[in-house]
Amino acid sequence: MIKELLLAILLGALLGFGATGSILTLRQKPAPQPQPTPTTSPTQTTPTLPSPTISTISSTLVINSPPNNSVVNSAKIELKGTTDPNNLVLVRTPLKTAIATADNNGNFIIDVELDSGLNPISVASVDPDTNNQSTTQIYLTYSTAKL
Amino acid sequence: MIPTTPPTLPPPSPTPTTINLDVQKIREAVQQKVREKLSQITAETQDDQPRAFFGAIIETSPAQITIDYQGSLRHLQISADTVYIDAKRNKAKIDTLKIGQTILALGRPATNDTLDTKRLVATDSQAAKPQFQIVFGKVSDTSQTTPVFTLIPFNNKDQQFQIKTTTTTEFFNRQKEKIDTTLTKGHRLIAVIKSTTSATFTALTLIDLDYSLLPAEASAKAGTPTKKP
Repeated sequence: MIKELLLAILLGALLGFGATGSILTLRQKPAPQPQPTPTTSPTQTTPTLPSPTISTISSTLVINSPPNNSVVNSAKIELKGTTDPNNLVLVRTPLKTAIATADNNGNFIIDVELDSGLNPISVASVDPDTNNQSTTQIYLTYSTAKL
Repeated sequence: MIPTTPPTLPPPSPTPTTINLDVQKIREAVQQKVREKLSQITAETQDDQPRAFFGAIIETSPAQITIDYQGSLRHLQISADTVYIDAKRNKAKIDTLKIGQTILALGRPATNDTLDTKRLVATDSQAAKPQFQIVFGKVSDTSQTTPVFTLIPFNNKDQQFQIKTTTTTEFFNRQKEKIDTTLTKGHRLIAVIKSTTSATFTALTLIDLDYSLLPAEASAKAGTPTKKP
């Protein structure tokens, strides 16, 4: 009788402890914590990468008129374009070099002389103060043929 | 004991960094270049003003000739009105044109890459190549005995041009006034040059940007470094 009683107590205790332990184990599983926001302490400074130096070699240069590959019916024409303000602009046709200075808005008009037929034309824009430059190439054809 | 979430600090307010500003500058510069190029291309194809294309013939048919124009194809529509001028400047039959021959085609654009051609002119392939260069750089050396000097371009300091002046070379200062022909080491020059059969270029036009300056000022100006990428 006593043996059975002791056995019952023992079994009961085991069951109780087991159940309690399981409950406690489940309760102790940590809840997902929010990611901590990185902060810098007042004494730290965010390191900055050295700023990449940007090439300033190139000026802008666009020929607006006449468009590339145009056929013109006059040997002497006006070349119009835009570049950086006050840049020196050079135009070389098969016959001559022409030089102009862009205005404060970067606009320029330059008189050029063309050869008969196809004219490969080199154009350059130079900023004398910064040494920035830009070059371009256009083709104009001088022909009086009726097209 | 119920675990509590520690209070989170508010994130720092975003401030533009040096890198972001430089990236923005680069982005704006690229956008500007793209806009310029697009406006140039649009202007070329927007109207039906006469155009001329040159290139080597790669295909022929009775109604159309295809040429290679600077790496892209151009289709030349041929009609009864189309006139062909051969190398001797005589009118000739269009069916005498051959594959590989360089021609200059004049007409009005039908589409972006098609020309309603009125005139075909036999052309030397060399005639389409630019004969001149415009170089901007610094005089690194001058000769006491010959009219030859060395120019190092600002956009490529690993390169140098041997340039000779002739009696027809035009000299200008920064104000576009004609000046004498004295070249000074260290001065900045814009040179319009032409290739010759030798390694030396011939100067057609020279603009000395530092001509009016005193020697010390010229050296200081020429020594100003340009920013590199």
